[in-house]
Amino acid sequence: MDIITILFYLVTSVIILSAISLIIVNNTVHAALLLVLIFFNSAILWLMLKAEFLSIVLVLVYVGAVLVLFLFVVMLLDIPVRKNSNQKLYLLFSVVTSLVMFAELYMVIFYHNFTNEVNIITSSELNNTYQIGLMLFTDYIFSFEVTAFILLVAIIAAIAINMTEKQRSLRQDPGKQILESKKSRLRIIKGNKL
Amino acid sequence: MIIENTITSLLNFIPEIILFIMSMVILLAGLFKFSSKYVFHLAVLSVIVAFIVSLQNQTITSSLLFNNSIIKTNVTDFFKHICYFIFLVQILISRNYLKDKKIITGEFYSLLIFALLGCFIIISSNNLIVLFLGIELSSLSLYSLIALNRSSILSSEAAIKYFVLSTIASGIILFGFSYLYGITGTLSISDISKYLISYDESNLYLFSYVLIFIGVAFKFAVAPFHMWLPDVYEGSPLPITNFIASIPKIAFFVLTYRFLEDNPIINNDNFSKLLLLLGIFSILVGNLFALAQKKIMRMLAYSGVANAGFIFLGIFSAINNNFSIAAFYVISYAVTIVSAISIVTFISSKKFDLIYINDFKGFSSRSGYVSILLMITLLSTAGIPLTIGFYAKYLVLDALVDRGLILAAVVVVLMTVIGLYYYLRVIWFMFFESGSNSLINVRGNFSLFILSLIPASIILVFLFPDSIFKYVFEILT
Repeated sequence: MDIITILFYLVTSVIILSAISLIIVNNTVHAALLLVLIFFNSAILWLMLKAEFLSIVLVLVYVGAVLVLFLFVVMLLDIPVRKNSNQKLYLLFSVVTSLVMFAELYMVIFYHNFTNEVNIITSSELNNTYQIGLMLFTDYIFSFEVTAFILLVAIIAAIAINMTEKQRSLRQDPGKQILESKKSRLRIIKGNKL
Repeated sequence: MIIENTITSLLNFIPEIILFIMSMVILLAGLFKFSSKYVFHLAVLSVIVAFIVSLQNQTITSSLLFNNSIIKTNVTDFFKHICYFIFLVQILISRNYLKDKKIITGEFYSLLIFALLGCFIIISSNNLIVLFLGIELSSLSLYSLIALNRSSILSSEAAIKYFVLSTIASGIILFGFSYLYGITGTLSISDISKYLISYDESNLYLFSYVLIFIGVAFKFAVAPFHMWLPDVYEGSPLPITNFIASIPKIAFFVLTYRFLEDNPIINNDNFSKLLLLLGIFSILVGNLFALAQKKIMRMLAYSGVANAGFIFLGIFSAINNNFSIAAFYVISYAVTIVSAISIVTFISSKKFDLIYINDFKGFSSRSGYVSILLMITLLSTAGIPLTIGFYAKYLVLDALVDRGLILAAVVVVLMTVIGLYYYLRVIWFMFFESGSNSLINVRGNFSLFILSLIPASIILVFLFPDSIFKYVFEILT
């Protein structure tokens, strides 16, 4: 066994173990941190496949931006862990279903011989990032644009759902502040009227 | 070379580009007080303009656009035109309802047009990545459209349920895509479905197809994957229900057609058995559960489950690449359900929501015309002669008998007869029970005209079916 194979098994076992514990763990903060671990290890896997740009982007975007936001939300909301009464029943069903699915997948995938594998295009002249950029803006330009639509929809939806007519926020309205008079704010009470 | 290709592709893609630009314009128009009144008019105008441009741009030869990621044939054109028509009917009817619910905003129409664009991308995609992006675009817009009505708890519940379950289905579809890419080494759907002609069929190929069709069955709400449908129908605002019930179904039908066209896998015993069993189970569950429903939208949801089962049976019987039966069923069902939900939207657009089936009591004394329209629509969904639904159901049963599946055909017919009860109950309440509700809206000459278009065409197509049948059979075989 060479060092690459050993590294592969190490990384994948960490991914699988942390994925399983991600589901089992009750604390949401721990779950988010385990997800960080999974992303880091997947980044290592991609690095081993010579996709260094993608692995760096995975760490930067997912770990750096998405998961940090996620952790913020989890910590700010502080969602209490609810014990479901029939959790054991769910656990039984889910374990049985996932075992069956795993057996099926194992049978199907491991007895398949991948004859015409996907050729990994490696060119010595152009680096990985350059090639991805080239493909993204020529062959996959339509997919790229549709992705932009999807992000736009997400922005519109997030704003439209959260925008309320009633002002719930603690924003100050300068116009109202100026129009405020002494009478509406201050009430002078004489001592004998108390 | 690349620039020329892109320019010709853009020229062929003008209707969608118009829709996209106009959705941005509508969003902007909704922001200002002086223009926010005209949001509805802008939406209608943009859809009509896109429809006309699309009608002018029809081609007989199929063409690949944007480096093989989009395909444009007469099949995609035909289904897109039906989507345009349905969409126009929906937004024309829903104006007063939305005004009453105070959700007639720029965001609403622009998200709705985005959902339509997503469905168009699903219809015309020839690339797995574009296909998945189209699915996500349409469903993301729909989740947020359901959640837009924040004052209702049911809406929020429906949005969360739809979001979680639909994401799982998308994940399953994506899992299937990844294995297909691993086996065939190509992202193009037409290459993938022709792969089996030159290579042996492997279990993994079959498995990835099963995964994709589980996802598709979810989007169609076929029986074991139908749990989300009644809650979403009940919870979401009626115009959105109208959209979910019709246009995504057409889009996903075109998806299945693209995946199974010229593909020997449809003759595979295991795969076709999956379609058959899902179809029959769905007809059983849909019809039996619909009997017990008290709310009109839940009843229509379960009837939708039963009809999705019929669509799967139609796909199952497409043995010699003859998808015309299933296509005819999808079109007739989509048009009919749009008519039914539009009528309910029209009725409940004045301070009163028609939720329970009991509310239909004595409806014919309020407005005989609308109740006759609803009767024609419901009879078409049930498959009674003199309506288009009869032909659709008859063709599916005929194909089943042709394949020697007499028992299955008998079960399906029995279930359809049971299903007749809940359609007839509504009709009975409308015509033979007394009681009347003065809050029900029956006014609006223009809406009445739009509403009567579909029932009229349902009967006309039954009487003169030749041209439409010929066209559908010609393009889909």
